[in-house]
Amino acid sequence: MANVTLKNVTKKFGDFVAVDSQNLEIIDKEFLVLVGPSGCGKSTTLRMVAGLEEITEGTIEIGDKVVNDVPPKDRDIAMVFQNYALYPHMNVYDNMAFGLKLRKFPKEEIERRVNDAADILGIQPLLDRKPKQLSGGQRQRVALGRAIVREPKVFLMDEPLSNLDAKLRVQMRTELSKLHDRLQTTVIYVTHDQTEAMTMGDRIVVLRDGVIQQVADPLSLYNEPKNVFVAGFIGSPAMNFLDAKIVQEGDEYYIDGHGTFKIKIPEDKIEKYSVKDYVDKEVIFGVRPEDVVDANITHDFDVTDYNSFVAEVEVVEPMGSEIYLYLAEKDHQMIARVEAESKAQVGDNITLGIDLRKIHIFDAETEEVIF
Amino acid sequence: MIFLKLLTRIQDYFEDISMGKFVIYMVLIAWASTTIMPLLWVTNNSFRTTEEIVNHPFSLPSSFNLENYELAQARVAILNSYKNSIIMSGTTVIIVLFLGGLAGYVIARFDFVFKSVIKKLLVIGLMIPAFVTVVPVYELLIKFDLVNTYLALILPHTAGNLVFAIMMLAAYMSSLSTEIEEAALLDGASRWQIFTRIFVPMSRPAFATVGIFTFLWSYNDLFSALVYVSHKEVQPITVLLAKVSTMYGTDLGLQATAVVITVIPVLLVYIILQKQIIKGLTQGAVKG
Repeated sequence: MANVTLKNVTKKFGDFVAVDSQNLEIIDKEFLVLVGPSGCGKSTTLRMVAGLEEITEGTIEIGDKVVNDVPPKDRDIAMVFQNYALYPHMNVYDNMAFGLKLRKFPKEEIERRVNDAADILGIQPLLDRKPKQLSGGQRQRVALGRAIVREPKVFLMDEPLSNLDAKLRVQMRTELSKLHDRLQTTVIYVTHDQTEAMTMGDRIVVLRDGVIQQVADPLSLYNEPKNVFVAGFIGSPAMNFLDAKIVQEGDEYYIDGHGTFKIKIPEDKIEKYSVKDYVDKEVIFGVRPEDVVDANITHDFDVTDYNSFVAEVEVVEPMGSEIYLYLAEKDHQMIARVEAESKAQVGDNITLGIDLRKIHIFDAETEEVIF
Repeated sequence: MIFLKLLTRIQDYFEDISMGKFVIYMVLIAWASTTIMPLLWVTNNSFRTTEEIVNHPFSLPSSFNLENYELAQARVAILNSYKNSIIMSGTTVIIVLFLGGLAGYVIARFDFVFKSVIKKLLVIGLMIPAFVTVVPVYELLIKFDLVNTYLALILPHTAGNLVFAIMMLAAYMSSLSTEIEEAALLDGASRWQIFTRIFVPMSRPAFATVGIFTFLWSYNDLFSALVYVSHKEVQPITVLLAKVSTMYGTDLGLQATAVVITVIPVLLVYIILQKQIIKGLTQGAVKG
């Protein structure tokens, strides 16, 4: 159990900067998720914490100790790999006991720990089997077991669920969360799947091109994204982004979609944020699919001329509990997540309302959020 | 009755397979016969007297006669040569696997300054025919007073086979997942432990392939044996086999026996390691 601190950590491969001066404090017992698209440096960061990758600049501390030059085996960490990395020639028991044997633990202690871990993970009947005789889910459990028996200060998990099928992934997701609650150990978890990040993480770190974009708890990340990248990466289907301009008419301010829509900015937002500085400037208007509603269905806000627009339905995707509408309005493409009662059909021109409480505007140049 | 049953089974089998497969099987059977038939013929003749062989070369022995085997030991001390061969080839295999495994691991998994140069030198080493090295090697052996000792054959054989072993094992080991190595590293294994407890067991097919090939080359090498270990006490079985055919050229039964005795260890090793060899050959080939 320990804090992990990254101070100005940089990793370069030749001229390529994989991780760019990251500062991050991972609190004791926290489940921290590193998320981002391929090549964003999330795995490299994890591997640097593990000691499998040298740090070009900066320091990493585990507990209060700088571990830059400490070999992996002495860092008191355990790692779970994407492809399980089980020793194929050893049975499940030996796979789990290998690390303890190397550390010269007494035989009884090894037995106790392996059996305890096997009980927790429900793999007790598999202890005599070789990895090739196990299913994907069972292998992943063994890989977890191998990490658990070590009772490390920090668990590192590198996309541990991405080789499993969708159903098993959902099941293992909840099991991992339960396991974390039970073990109360610091976990650093890498994934490219934002659903995994949202459902499992106490906090989430969104990375892009080696740079931390935002660190926040899942809901803050969803509701208050710092920039276009985070807003677009978190949430499925992704947030709709539309090019627009802020215009002033008297005392009122509007988001003008270059003639295709015109939405009034709520007064509280004008006061609170620097909206006035952006008058006549290009911005990016962002709204999540669930905040675009079918005007024919009643909601907890009124649909007026200033928070609605008309668009043509191009595709209808019924999901059972809801419907995804793929919309086109002149050059703009949008997705709306509407209630299952919606009667919208392909080719219809329907009126859509926008929940003004949930809209976002980003600076078109810096892509940073205005609100 | 049994014969009829067998015929119907064969008929059923051929009805199930396609024409293409049938032709392929026929060719394979014909090809296998060219190696299996002589072996069976020689084995058969090792239980017969020369007279019987000359008169009826292809008939079965009239009685199960072990006289030739007794004669082989009495006249040419075949068991002694047998022992020499096993010791020399066996030691060669052990050293080649040990050094080849270590070097293969280093080449597969470490980056160092002259790595590419060393790899090129290894390939060049493969191209030099053994005959070219005979004179200098012989001189060296004389210098170190090793002629007519076991080492006189073990050392050149080890050197001759090591390059192949290193390349084969390095290719196989570099195909093994790096994550397993990293997992072992995090589990607390040292480099040596990773080699002995992870890489060696995981590379068993490659080690088996290299082992059998090295054994075969070493065991079959008549030329080096004739030059470096001509003394009767240390001569390997291949030399003895050559001698039997010149000294006892007319004793066909004895010759057949010598051949059978020579072939037995090779066959045994092949049968035992067959599965591993096939795995090793294909994996090495794909990844190489």
